[in-house]
Amino acid sequence: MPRIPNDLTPAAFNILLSLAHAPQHGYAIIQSVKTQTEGRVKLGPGTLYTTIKRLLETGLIEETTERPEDDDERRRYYQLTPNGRRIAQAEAEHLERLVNQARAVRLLKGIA
Amino acid sequence: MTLETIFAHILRIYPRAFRERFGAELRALLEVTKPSERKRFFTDLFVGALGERLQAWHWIRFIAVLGWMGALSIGTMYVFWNEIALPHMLHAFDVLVGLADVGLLFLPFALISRLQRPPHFLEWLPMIVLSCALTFLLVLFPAREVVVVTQFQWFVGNVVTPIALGCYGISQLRSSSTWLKLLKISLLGLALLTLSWSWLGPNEIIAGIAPHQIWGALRVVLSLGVVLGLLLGFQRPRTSVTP
Repeated sequence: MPRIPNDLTPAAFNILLSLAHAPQHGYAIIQSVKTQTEGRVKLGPGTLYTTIKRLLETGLIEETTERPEDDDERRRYYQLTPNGRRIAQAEAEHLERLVNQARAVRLLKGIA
Repeated sequence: MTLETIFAHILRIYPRAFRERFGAELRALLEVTKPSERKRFFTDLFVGALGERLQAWHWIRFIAVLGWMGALSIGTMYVFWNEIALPHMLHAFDVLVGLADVGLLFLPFALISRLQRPPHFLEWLPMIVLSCALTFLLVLFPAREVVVVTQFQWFVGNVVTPIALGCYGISQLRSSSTWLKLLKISLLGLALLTLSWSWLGPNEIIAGIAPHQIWGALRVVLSLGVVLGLLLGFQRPRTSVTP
């Protein structure tokens, strides 16, 4: 199992999660995080780009040249690296285990 | 000043490398964001800028800044040696107040670097005011009695610092438990008392006790309130997820 970085914050995981589907630019990431969390997480641009910077540095995401033709040239698109996908998967499994534990102690409804 | 101008100023706080890499993208993002959402971004951008700036600093730079402040303090003391009342300066109580000032200087920076949720306006503004005021106090601490700077120092020490300390302590204490509510009211009361004492109070409110001792005691109490507020602030979950 890949080692999950200690500094994988909720914001970082949300960004990885939104990029798991397709490459996206900054504004689209903000919108996707908002949608996937049902409006409970609203990333600001400061948090977004400082987190993107760290994810680029740690090699979990990378910039991609694929983009729509008529898009704003200043926008950059990001996608998951194979390692980023593995880390996101490991973190999701970790969260799944926590949810199962929550079910086991009846904090959540459903079968543990 | 428009929101765009403010954002442009905030973007300048980010380190050059960050601006060159993400600056254009950030501007493009802000342009397509709804005005109502953009207002929410203000604090987030500012905190992000401070965090990046601090992280870009090598530890040698921190040492250099501290050394610079130390050199300035020693230089001021040396230049104004005759004007400085040494017995007063070396009074144990003043040393305690000075230590509280120095310690508090670093707390706002520590808080900013550790927060992962966007702080409220009432939190970051006093933090900045506080750090500016305390830097000033730190630099001038050895030269308290120098006449040239007394007025400005009096203003910073007696007006700016209590307001900043009080606001910050209060903004950090949001629990609904009764004793915390009482603490909030006490902090506010102390801040107001200190202010009114500074502006309106007689030279000696209690016979035999010098005003600076009472002021110093209030400052220490306020400082403890802020430290407590910070500690309580750290106990809250560090996430931007709203329940």
